Amino acid sequence: MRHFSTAATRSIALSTLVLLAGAQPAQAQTAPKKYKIALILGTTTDNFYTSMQCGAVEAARRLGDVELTVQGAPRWDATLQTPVVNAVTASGAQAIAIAVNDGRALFAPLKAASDKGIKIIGVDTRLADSSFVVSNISSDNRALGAEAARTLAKLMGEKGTALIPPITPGITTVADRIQGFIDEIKANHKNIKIAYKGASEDASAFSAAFAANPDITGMFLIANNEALVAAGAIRQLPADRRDKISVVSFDAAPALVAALKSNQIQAIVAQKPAQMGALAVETARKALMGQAVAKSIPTGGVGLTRMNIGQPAFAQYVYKSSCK
Amino acid sequence: MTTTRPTPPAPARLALRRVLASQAMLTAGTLLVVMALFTALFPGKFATLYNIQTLMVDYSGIVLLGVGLTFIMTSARFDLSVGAVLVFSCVLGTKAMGALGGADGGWGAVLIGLAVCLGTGLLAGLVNGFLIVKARVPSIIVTLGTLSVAQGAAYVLTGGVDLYAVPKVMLDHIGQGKVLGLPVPIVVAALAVAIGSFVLSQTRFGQYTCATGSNAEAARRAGINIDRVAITLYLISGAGAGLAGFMSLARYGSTTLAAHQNDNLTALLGVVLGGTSLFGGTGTVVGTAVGVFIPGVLSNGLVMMQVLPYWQYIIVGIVLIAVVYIDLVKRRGRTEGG
Repeated sequence: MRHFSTAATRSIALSTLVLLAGAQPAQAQTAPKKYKIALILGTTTDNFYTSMQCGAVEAARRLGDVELTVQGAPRWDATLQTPVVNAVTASGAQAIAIAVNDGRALFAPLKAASDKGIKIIGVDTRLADSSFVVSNISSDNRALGAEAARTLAKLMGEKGTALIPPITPGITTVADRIQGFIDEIKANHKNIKIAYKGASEDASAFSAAFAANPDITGMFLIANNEALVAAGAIRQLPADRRDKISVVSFDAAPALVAALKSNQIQAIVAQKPAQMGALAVETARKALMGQAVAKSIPTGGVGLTRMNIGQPAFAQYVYKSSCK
Repeated sequence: MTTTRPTPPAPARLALRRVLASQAMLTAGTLLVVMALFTALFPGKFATLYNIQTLMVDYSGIVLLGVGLTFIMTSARFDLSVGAVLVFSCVLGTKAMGALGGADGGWGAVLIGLAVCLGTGLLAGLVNGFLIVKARVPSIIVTLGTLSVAQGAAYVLTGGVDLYAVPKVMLDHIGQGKVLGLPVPIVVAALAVAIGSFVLSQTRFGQYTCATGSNAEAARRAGINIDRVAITLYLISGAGAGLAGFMSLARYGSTTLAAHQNDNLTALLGVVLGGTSLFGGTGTVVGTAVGVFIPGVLSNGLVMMQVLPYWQYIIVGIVLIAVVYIDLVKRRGRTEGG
């Protein structure tokens, strides 16, 4: 109800403004109305989100009538992201596109923002309860996980043990990728066994897994930070084991692409964060203009290998360290 | 180190009061200047009920940790474990409430959850206090150890996977609930500050706390059971962490395993900014509550300025060093000048 009354007040104020604008022609009419959109990144220290930011900034520039602010906390921590959401809400943003750090912990602050009339858009990750969210933009993570499974199975010669990370339910994207991977292996690659790595992201977790499972010939990794740690752990193995291990990872961070080029990892399934950022801005703007938007917008992925990484059509999907 | 300082006689106590006043003033002054600046910069945005209230709710957990830490630091000790104990108590509390119906659990489950969270904190405090007093291991080492143990135990018990079995009534009526129009987390934090402030400044136990921090040997010779005081102090700090864990569950509905890593330091920062001496002997719980909000207000305003909130860390660091510097200068003046 409150939501309606504030919207009504706003529209009255707006129509008054329009009337005034009509009375004093030139100036007021040429200054266009700007849509105030905030993009809150998962973290501000990850190339994936830097690319998302670049895509959003580029879209805002192209559209011309969007005032975009990009925010976030330096670490993946729901208790750090919550105050950022609250500050953005208080600062008068009209729409918030956000990669939530936890599908449930961020529910309350975003619901409060939504109750104030702010349009909420999920980007990359999503809330467990998205009922009030205008649109969710994310990779089709199960499909990407399945794609990674097919790629890895081929590299492993359809046999051996594949090491995969444990499922962490709080982070929906990650859980879906792993589930997509597992489903594909169980359905279509029955000779491949699955072993789970410990929850720790340290190199020691990989070393322990290598020691426990001598027949590991494949690894599936989900986050680019982790893949770099894994590449380091593989380098420490004796050469005869090292050369037998094929690695498929997600996310084309520059350092990971370097590892691909030097054959430390064999394939990357890159997401399209820049496209997500652009879609977030476009969708938020559409919602603010009162147009219908799709409740769920899946974005695709692209497989990068040593063979195609030299071509511009594929190289453009390498994640960025800065927007220039 | 602490033994060089005698228990302050009357004139020195005046000086002491001045020290306290100047540090607290620097902190409160900084907070006021920053808030005035943001109010002027963002009319109708910064100084709104919504913004101030959410800001206070966001930092209410840190205040709970800060109250306990004020006691600890007034007694010239450290506690680095409260952030990890907070998360560990979240884990045990969620496990208990999960067994009692999870999201559908009633107020009975919530009460058990509160008891488990507080019990976890008290147990951690007992272990800390006992090791510091009986085994005579320095507090900074003991609590660094229990930090690691609590963090590890939280990961072991959950397999590194967040738990979400928090009763809906707890989320709705405690995390998002209101009492007399005020959000419950603010009320809980305010009560903790009021009680903590009363105990530290008005009771005999509070005097004992200051005395052991000022000169432990003198306090012992004066007949104070300093061991019992120390253990009680860590029980208070542990209870604060347990309560903060319970409130975190009520707000986030998640064990937030990866979170709260900065909480311990932010709370310590608030304690020192608030005028509690790093060297023990003097402390103010209300000062802590003020100090805790400096980083919060800064990052809030910086987000409104459309700047990433990184500058907060730099400004807070400078104010911190300035506050401790004033503490030292006044202290030196006192011992040299007489």
